[in-house]
Amino acid sequence: MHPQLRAPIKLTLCVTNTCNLNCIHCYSDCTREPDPRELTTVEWKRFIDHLVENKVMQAFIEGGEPFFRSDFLEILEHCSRRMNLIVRTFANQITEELAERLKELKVGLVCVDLLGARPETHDAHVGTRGSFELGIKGARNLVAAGVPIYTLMILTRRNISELQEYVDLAHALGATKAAALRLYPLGRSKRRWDELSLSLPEMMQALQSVKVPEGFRFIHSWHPNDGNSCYQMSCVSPFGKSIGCPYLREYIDLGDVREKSFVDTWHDPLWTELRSGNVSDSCSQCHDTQGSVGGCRATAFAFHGRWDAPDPYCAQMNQGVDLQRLPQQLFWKKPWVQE
Amino acid sequence: MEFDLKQRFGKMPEAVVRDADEWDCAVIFQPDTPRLCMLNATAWLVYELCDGRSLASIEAAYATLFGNKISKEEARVQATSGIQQLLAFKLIEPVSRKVSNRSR
Repeated sequence: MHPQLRAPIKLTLCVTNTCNLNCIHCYSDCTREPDPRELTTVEWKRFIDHLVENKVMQAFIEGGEPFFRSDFLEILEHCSRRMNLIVRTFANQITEELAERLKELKVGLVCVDLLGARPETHDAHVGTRGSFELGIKGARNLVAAGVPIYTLMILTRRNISELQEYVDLAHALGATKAAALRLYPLGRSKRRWDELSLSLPEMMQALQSVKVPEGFRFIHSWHPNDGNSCYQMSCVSPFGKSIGCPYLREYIDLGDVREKSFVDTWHDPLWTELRSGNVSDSCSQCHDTQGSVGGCRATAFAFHGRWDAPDPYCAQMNQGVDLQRLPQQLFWKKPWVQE
Repeated sequence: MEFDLKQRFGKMPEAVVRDADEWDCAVIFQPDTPRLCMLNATAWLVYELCDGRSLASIEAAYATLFGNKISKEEARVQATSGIQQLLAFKLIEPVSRKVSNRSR
């Protein structure tokens, strides 16, 4: 069982569902124009004050594309020096000046999304020609300004053959590490699952064949690193909903932080149970590396339809689940959460 | 690294400290670094003792808090090691006199 914290140490803030790209897999079904139901600047600031008062010590900020939100720097300024800040971005808007500003604001880390190691692969994924070049330029601006970066690549059928090139590119960029992320059946990705998804053996073979440059780190969340990190984290959506984890966005609604204390939503019975580590099966090797049991709750629920199920992305807990075939209930039950 | 026993140590200003009793540790955010650090119970104890007192005083207090179940030499080794690590993570700094607790 996992220890129960009185409030999370870390929180993901999904500040917007807007983006200047048009990703084929977009989990949030992002748009160019903001939905009027997104939290306002004042509401985000009030919420951040609540987090600071409750000693939530790290904000992982993502979107959509956070820098596409016109008041994003104002929100960052409000967090600055009060919490550890990590920002996830495609980096295509990071100019030299903006990189310097992020350094001044004490942003501790920027995670740069790459969806391939080659321009044609990345640009096809994000539906925007030229975005790879801009993202690489942005990443270089961050490194030059002294803002640590690490890169993320969601593994899909379209980019898996470039995994080694991606790791080498991240190393060459001066990233502190490169990460491979699994594809989640959310938003557009769910609707294009047949086209984008991979089998577990394909993914494992690719991950295991990566040659990591000396002194560099390559991380991923498949066996033996499949953690159930929900137990120390939580997440709030652009609409102010407490959703536990960004990857649970279609499954969970623990309450609106405009109407209810966020810390109260942390103690919601469902979320407390999901953090407990009370699962029907677990992998001892993943437990040893992650200090948690059962693996990711979002993919466990997506493929099994129950919260205490084992995560099929771990080779030891897969139980014969075909990861290229989504359960029909994911479509006919949608959405669990009404935005 | 050798320290003068008269050298005083204090916490870096603006640090945010959260006791995570559930994990038997403390989580510290140091804005200037900026990063989160997790201190185990021993390091946390040394950190709390860094209130501007001297290394000799930290070692003595450390030994006392262990109920004198460890030798003075062992207390010196553990406290000095803790000081070195806390300095490396920029969570404490040498100071010239006793200071009030400046962490949040």
